[in-house]
Amino acid sequence: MDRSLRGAAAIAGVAHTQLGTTPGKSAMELNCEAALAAVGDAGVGIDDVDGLIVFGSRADDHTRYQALVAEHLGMRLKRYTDVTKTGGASSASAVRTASALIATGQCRNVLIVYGDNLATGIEHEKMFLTYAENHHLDFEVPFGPLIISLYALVARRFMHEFGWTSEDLAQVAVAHRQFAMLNPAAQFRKPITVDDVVNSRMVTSPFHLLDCAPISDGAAAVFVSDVREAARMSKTPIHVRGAGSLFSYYYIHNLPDYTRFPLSMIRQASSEAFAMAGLLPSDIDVAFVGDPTTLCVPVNLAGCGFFDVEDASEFLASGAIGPGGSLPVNTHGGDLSCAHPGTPGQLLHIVEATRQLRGEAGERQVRDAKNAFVHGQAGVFTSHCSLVLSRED
Amino acid sequence: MSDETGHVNLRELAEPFFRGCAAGKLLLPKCDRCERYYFYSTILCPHCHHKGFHWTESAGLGRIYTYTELFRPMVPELAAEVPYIVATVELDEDVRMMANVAPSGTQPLAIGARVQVGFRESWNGRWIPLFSTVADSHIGEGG
Repeated sequence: MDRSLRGAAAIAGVAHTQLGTTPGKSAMELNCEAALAAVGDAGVGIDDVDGLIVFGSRADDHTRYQALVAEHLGMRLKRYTDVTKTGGASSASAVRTASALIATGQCRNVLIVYGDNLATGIEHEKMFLTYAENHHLDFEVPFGPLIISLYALVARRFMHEFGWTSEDLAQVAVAHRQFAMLNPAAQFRKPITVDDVVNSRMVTSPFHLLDCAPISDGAAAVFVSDVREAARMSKTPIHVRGAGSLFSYYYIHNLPDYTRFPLSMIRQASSEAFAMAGLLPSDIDVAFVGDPTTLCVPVNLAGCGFFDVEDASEFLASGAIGPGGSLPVNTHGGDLSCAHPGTPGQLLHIVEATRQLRGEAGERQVRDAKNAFVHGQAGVFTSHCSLVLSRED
Repeated sequence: MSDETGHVNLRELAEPFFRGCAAGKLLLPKCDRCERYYFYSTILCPHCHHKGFHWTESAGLGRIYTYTELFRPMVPELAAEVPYIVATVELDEDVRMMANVAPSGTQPLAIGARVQVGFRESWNGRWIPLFSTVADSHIGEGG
């Protein structure tokens, strides 16, 4: 039996709201704005949606957030609905789930909508506490780590084992900012240099302030349809050509190691996606990887096979991931410079991947982009989902 | 560890660890069946999936696997302690745990540095491990 998702589903609509700070707007309002705009982008209406996947807001969470979002959208009947809980991997994972629902005939049009207002919708200290609860309440929280401290623990190991430096990681922040400067919707658009990054204040060593994603308001939505319907709706449907995933521990101290093991997980998830798509890393024109910290970019890219982990410093220094580079990455500016409304941030990666493949990315357009790769990553390299998106099925 | 219905309360499952810290002992779960150590107190043994372990005192010695120094506190209660160190410690019993570390004057903090357990009260009122760097009798095993 053919178990591939290839040829089943395509992205027919994408949207995001204003990003950065949106005072006075609830997370629900942001979710509804993005949902309506993505459905509108596909040229259909809310009533055409028969599957809904949401991400629970931290600012105004609810046990059945998916039902609440549907109610606010006036969407009364759905064949599938759920809240995803795989952190930053949720965005790619939801596209994979939507494609599987469509491939098996359980849904025709699945709307994925994630949004939150972490910048203005929740008191700063309370937000840090709700984020602290992402950690193990008994065996992490008492020691006082920030979420990014867990990434910092991993970063120190990569530096120790592979000789990566703060300057190498700073190249990531600089490249993302260069793209954000070309994106009118991005939250941070002032130019920065490697010196600015390494001289910004230390937050949790080896991470400086500019190694870390900000906290933002905003929502994004992606509308995935049966490939035949998508072709009717959109003049450039973007095919979900490959998907793969792998999930592991909760408490990162259980990882067998902090470097080779996460790299091997990423390799396995991405290989599944590449194999399904019948493509190789060298076929990819533009890549999107989770970037809550600068570290995540070289780790995810190396894991996905775009370069050898031993060559990361050289690759980053070459300018490959920035505008005009050989492998443009996170061309909207990523979590680091475009916007980071928490977990919903990585859905912006998929919105941008779609725009790049449609040729609608304005000044930051990668010339003739045909194939995009998305790697959603979360839980300090313990949750992974890869997608290959393509103009061709 | 379980009530009359057999329901295991996760916080209760972890509690002996903190009582041990308060009494100056570092306790690790050791599987009743395969006799291997693991951390933390999951319901089933991660090695053999047996349900049932006994808390066993660790020698309290290990090495720094990795660490980070925080200049921004996780909560306001930790503001006075900034900068403080959060590390992954690899114990000689072959388990890893998160802990705070206080470098001693003569032994610098580094990956591979030898550490010995001590204890402190956490910002949220629990007794937790606080490791110190100590002289290394096994030169060359670091990292």
